[in-house]
Amino acid sequence: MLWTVVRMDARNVRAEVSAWLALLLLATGVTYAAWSGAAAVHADRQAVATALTEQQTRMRDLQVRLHAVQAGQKQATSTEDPSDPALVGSTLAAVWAVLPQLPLASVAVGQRDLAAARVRITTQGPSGRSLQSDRPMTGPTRLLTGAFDLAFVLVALLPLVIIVLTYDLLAGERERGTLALVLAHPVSLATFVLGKALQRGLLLGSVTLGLALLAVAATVDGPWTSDDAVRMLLYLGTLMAYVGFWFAAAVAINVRGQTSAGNALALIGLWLALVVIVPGIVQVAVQATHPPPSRVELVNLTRAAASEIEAELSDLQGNHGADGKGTPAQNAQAATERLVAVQVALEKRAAPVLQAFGTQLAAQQALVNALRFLSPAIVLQEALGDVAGNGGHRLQQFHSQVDEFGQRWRNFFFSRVSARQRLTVADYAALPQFVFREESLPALGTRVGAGLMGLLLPTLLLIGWAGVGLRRGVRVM
Amino acid sequence: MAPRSSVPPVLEAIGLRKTYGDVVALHGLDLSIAAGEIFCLLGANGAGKTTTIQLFLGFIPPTAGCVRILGQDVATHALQTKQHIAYIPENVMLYPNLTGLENLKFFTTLAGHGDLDRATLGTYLDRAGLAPEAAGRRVGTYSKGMRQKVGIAMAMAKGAQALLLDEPTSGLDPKGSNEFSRLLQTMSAAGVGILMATHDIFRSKEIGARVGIMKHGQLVACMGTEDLSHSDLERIYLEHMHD
Repeated sequence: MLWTVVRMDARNVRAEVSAWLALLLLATGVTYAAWSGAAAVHADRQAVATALTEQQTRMRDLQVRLHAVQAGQKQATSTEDPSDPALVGSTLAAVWAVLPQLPLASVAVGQRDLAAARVRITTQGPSGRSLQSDRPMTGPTRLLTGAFDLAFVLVALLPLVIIVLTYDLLAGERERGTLALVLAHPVSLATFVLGKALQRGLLLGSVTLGLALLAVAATVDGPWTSDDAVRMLLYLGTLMAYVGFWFAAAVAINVRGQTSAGNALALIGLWLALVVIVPGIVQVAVQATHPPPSRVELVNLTRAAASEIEAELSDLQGNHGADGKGTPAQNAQAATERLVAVQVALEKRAAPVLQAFGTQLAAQQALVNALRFLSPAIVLQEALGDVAGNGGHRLQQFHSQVDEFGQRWRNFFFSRVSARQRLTVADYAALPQFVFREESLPALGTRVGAGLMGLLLPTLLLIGWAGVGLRRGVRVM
Repeated sequence: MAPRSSVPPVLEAIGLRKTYGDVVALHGLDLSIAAGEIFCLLGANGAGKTTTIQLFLGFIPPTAGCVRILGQDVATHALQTKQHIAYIPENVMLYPNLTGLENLKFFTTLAGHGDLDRATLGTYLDRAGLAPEAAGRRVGTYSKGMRQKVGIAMAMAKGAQALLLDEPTSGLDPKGSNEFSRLLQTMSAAGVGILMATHDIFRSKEIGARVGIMKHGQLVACMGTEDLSHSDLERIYLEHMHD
C-alpha cells in the first residue's frame, strides 16, 4: 500500500512544474556553489604553492651563499649574512606554517575568509604571527552574505526547496478534493502521508545526495585517505539528517490541518527562524557574553613591537662600535644580543593579550558548540565546516600549533645568538619544520556525531508530534 | 425502516449522533439499507445529509451511536469497512495530471485490486460510459460528468457492496444525470446497497426504493417510493420544510 502511494505520488510530482523548477534551482545553486568553493580552494592552493616555492628557492639561495661565504668566495654583508642566526631567523629564512587543505575543503570555505590558513613564521613580533588573511573579503556583497559555497546552499537554500515540495503534502490533497476519495479506500491517513513524504524525501534525498557527491567529486583535490572517507560519511549523514528534519517539520505542519498557504507561511516562518534569526541571535549572544578579542589592539601591539624592534635595531646599528669599547664584530654581537633581549621582552608584554585572544576565541567556539543545538542550520554549518577542515575548531588548533612552532623557531635561533654561534649548513638542514597535527578522527566523529544527534532528536520529536496529529485524524473535506 | 433479517444490512446507523460544540448536526439517526436497495436522503442544506455520509466513511467520529457496514463497526474496523464501500461526492476530484485509466489503476490498487490489468480497467471505464479515447487523456481535461463516470468505474472495479453518494447529479445536464441514474440502477440490480444524499426529488422518486427526509439532523420522514407520485413526494417534502 505504501509503495502504491509512493508510485502514484511520483507520477504526480513528475507532472508538477514547480517541483522541477525547485530541483533545477537546487542543481544550479549546488553547481555554482561547487564551482565557487572549488575556485576559492584552488586560489588558496595556488597561493600556498607560490609561497612555498618562493620559500624553497630562498632557502636554497641562502645555503648556496653560506657555502660561498664559508669558502671565502663571497663577502657576507650585515644585511645578507646567511650565517647570522638573528638575521636568518627574523627575515632571511622566514617560513610559512600552512594549514593543509582537506579533500572536502570546497564544501565549506567560510572561515578561511576570516582566519589565515597560512602564517609567516619569524623571530620578530608577538608570536611571529601575521594576522593578515591571505584571501581578504572581496567587496561589500561578499561581506554581507559570506562565501557562496556548498555549505550555504545546503544550509539555506535546500530547506526552501523542501518547502516547495512539501507545503501542500496533505493540504493540497484536501483542497483538490482527492483526500476524501483516497481515504474512502482502505488506506490509513498515516500510510498515505508517509507514502507521499517518503516519495518526495527519496526524490529530494537522492537528488541532494547525487549533487553533493558530484560537487565533491568534481572539486576534490589531493590524496584521499580512509579518514577522508569517514569525513565524507559524516558529511552525507549530517546532510541527510538535515533533510529529514525539514521533511518531518513539513509533515508535522501539514497534519495540523491548515491550508496550503498557511502551511507555506508556517514553514517559511520556521525557515526564517532557524536559518536566519536563531543563528543571528546566537552570534549576538556569543559576542555579548564573550566579546571578541580586539584584533585592532593585537595588530597595534604587533606594529608597536615591530616599530620598537626596528628603532632598537636602527639605534644599535647606528651606534655599534661608536662607543669605541670593542671591535666592530664584538659591538655587532652585543647589539644582536640586545635585540634578542628586546624581542623576548616584547613577547612577554604581548603574551597576556595573545592569551586573552586565544581564550576568548576558544570560549566563543565552546559557546557556539553548545548553542548550535538551537538551530539545525547551525548544526549543519558547523558539521560541514568540521568535515571540510575549515571549521573553527581546526583553525584554533592550527593557530595553537603555530604558536608552539613559533616558540620552537625562536628558541632555535635565539639559543644560537646567546651561544654566539654562527649558522652552518647542518643548522639549515635542522631548521624546525611545521607539520600540522590533525585532530583525531574519534574526536571529530564525536563532535559531528553530537551534532547529528542534535538533528535527529528534534526530527523524532516532530515525527512524534505528527503521529499524534495523524492518530487524532485530520479534516478530510 | 427496512425489515430485519439474518443478513446484516449493507449500511446501518444506530442512534447516530454528531455534535460540534453546542450544535447538534445529527440527532440519533437510525437507518438501515439492504443489499440492492437505493435509499435517497432528501433535505435542505445543513440538514445533516453530508454529516451522515462522512460518518459512514469514518471521516469524522460519532458523538454517540454507531455506524456499521456489513455488520462491522466503522469506528473499530475502519480499514476493513472501507474495502466494501465506494464514495462519489458531488465533484469527483481525481489527480488531474494522471489519465482516467491511471487514476482508476491507482484507486483500485488502493482498494486492494492492484492485479487488474489495463484492459480490464478499460472495460470498467467503458461500462461506466466513458468513451475509450478519453480513458487515456489527462483527467484535467475531463468534464464533471466524465469524472463521475470514472468514480462509478472505481466503485465497479472495487467490487463495492455499498455506495455512498453526496449530491452526485448536482450540476449534471439532464442527459448526464439520466445516464448516471441508469448506472446506479445497474449497480443496485447487482446487489449494491446505495445511500444517496440529494436535492433532486424527481431523481429520488425515479431510482430510490425508499426516500428519507432530513431536517435539523433528524430523519423526519421515511417512505417507500413505489406508491408515491412525483408530486406526492414533492408535497411531503415541502410540508416538512415549511413547518
